[in-house]
Amino acid sequence: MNEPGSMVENKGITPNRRVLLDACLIVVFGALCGICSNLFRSAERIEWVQHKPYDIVVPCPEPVGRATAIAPNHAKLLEFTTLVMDARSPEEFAEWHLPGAINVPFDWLGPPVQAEVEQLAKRVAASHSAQLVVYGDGDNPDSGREWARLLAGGGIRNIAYVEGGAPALRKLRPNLPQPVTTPSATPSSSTTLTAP
Amino acid sequence: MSAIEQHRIVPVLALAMRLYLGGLFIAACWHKIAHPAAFALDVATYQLLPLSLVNPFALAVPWIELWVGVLLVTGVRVRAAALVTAVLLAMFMVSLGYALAKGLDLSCGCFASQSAAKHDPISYKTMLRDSAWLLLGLFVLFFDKEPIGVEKLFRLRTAS
Repeated sequence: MNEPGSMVENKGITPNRRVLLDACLIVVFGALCGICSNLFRSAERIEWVQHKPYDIVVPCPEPVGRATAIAPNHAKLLEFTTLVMDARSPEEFAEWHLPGAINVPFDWLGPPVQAEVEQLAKRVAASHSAQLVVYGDGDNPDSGREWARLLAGGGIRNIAYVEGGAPALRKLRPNLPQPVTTPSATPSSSTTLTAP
Repeated sequence: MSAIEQHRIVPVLALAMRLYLGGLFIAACWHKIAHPAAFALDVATYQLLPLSLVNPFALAVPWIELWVGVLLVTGVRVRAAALVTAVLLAMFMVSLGYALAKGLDLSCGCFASQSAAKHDPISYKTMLRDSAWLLLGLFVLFFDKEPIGVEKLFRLRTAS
């Protein structure tokens, strides 16, 4: 039985095929209208085929996660399950650093790509520390905070950065207290950082 | 005919859906027809089509949307219009899914250009919304076999 109103009852075309044919006609007619409208348009006419790539500015989501800010005198810094990371330059690190801290400089001119972040995240996880605390130069923006956020985005949990960075820490620790112990020398804790 | 198709409420229900979908498509195409360059940029932003197809797509789709909308509202070639609606919505959903999977933070560009729709970012909610519209289109396509509208009116007059 033909669909009522298909107007092709006697032409041997099934209703479904007629629907398909009509749909094609709608598409073709619509496309022709689009072409004609562009042809006769005086303003805002666009090229038929774009040759120059469009200047697309799509803000991609930053591969960063949440990192907690802690005070420079926070007890976490002295816990043996904490891995402390210094985000400053090797020269600054050599001049002063928290005992037990590892130096992984954050380069503002060439911030690490995702693969490097993930690699570092794995390295941090392999240290079997339960938490990671990063401190940087304490500037605005702070390199420690940036590193912490990038590592958090790379899959590291229990990550914090020191507010005020190295200057704040140095002010509180003029005599450089010896570390209780370093994470690499201690047995792994039951809670560990997680790499992606 | 299935039981659903025979139900008296179906043409009325389908009419409501058609008016909603048709109105929606007419509203959606308006800006795109008026500003093809802005819409072409929106299409390019999805980074799905090759550059050579961006402008032809941006020129054709709004007019197809317009005709589909008009046909759905007036009740002419309703099932064909519903089929095109469903295909368009499926296409939009693929684009949205692609953009979401790539993590692109952009506006839908469905009813206004990217620049004018800063507060309408794409999300899974947009996908759900399009899915709901797709279901409406499919309902009309499969169950509205005798649609209320100009075509039916014309046929009744011719018959009498």
